[in-house]
Amino acid sequence: MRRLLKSKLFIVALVVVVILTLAVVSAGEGSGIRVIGNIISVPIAPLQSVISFIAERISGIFDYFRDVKITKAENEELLQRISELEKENRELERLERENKELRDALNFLDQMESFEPVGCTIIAKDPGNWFEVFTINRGSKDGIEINAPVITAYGLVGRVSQVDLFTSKVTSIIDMDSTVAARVSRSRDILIVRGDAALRNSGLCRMDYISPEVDIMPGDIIETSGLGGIYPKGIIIGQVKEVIRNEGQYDSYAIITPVVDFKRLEEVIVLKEKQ
Amino acid sequence: MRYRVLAACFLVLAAAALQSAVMGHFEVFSVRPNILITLTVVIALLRGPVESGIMGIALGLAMDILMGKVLGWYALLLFLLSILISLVNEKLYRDKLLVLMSFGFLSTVAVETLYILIIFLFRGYQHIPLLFSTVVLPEAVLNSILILPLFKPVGKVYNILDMLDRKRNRLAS
Repeated sequence: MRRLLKSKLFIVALVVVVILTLAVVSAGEGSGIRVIGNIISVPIAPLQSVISFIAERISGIFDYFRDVKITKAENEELLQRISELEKENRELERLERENKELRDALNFLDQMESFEPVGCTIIAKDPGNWFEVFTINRGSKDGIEINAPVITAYGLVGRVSQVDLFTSKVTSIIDMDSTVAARVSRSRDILIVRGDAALRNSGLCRMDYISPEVDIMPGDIIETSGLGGIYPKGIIIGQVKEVIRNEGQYDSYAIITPVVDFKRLEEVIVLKEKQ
Repeated sequence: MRYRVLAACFLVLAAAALQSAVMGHFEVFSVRPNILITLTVVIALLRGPVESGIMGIALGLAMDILMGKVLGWYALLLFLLSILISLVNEKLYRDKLLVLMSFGFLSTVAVETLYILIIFLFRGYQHIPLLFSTVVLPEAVLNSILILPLFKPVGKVYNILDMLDRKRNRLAS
């Protein structure tokens, strides 16, 4: 036995087996073994906040000089657009009134009343190149729970996928592990929006398995359907960018541009269910 | 030994914090370099299998924890990578730029390719070749550049640790 334990190959194999066991045990999102994430997340949370703050200030200096150049060009363009926008604004005011009436009809406000909004700051983005998960500065001590919906003033961001003591991980809607029950605002057709690893870099997501009967076209607004029990209905997800119609019955899919700009996201709101 | 453990903890935490809070600012075509993979390669080039293996697991686990997904895949891949590199490191001219860059590039390609195979293949994902060309290769290029400024400072940290160990042993004897 002692000779076996001294064998380097045996030790390597043992470590591999232990890590594989850890991978299998931690595969579920609610797995208790994920508590060991606190070993890293608790001590680095303040470090991440400080580094993020400094990095943003430094990048802000470079952005300032770049912005001056861009602003000059944009200024001329914007003057032209002011008159167009004033006209659009009147139209939007009318639409806003309509929207409010429709949302009241959909009981959206009542649903939101069962949630308590918790403002959070993003302290770290996804460390790798495969997923779209970010860390927020609120954790279990603030009452954040797994699967709590995460939004901004514009629309849906994602859901809380892991809760540590002082921080939480949010899986965004463009992450490949994300699926959201959605509907087309205009036609009310129910579909699924999910993240795609190839579209993630462009900040897009997709709607799969669109049957020929579904009435969907570029420009359509997509919102949560309320099915699935995670996201309340009526939260805007994004707009249809492109519909790719294939020959097979369920081969068609659509590319969605989320309303949230994930590259520039800094603050989010977690919807905490009221007790 | 105590200093070595403290230095290792500091390296892992600093690398994890830098990866999650700073590396996003160095994105090229939406791909960011990976300081945790690069640091594993540097340590494996400098140290023996035991120290490299432990650091490989620690850095890999830090990566897994930061990603908030399944724990263990990066820990496993970086552990095996560090063992393999540390077994051959003495046969290499490891302070040559080309050797360093090649190790940074090839290690990233190996680790990230195996990672996408583990994560994406099991899900029946079809665009693996696209991910290889648009994510793995650019990341490998970025890491092969990142390894250059990392190698000497990390080497110096380990030289100081070795010196402290020797001093301590002399005092003990």
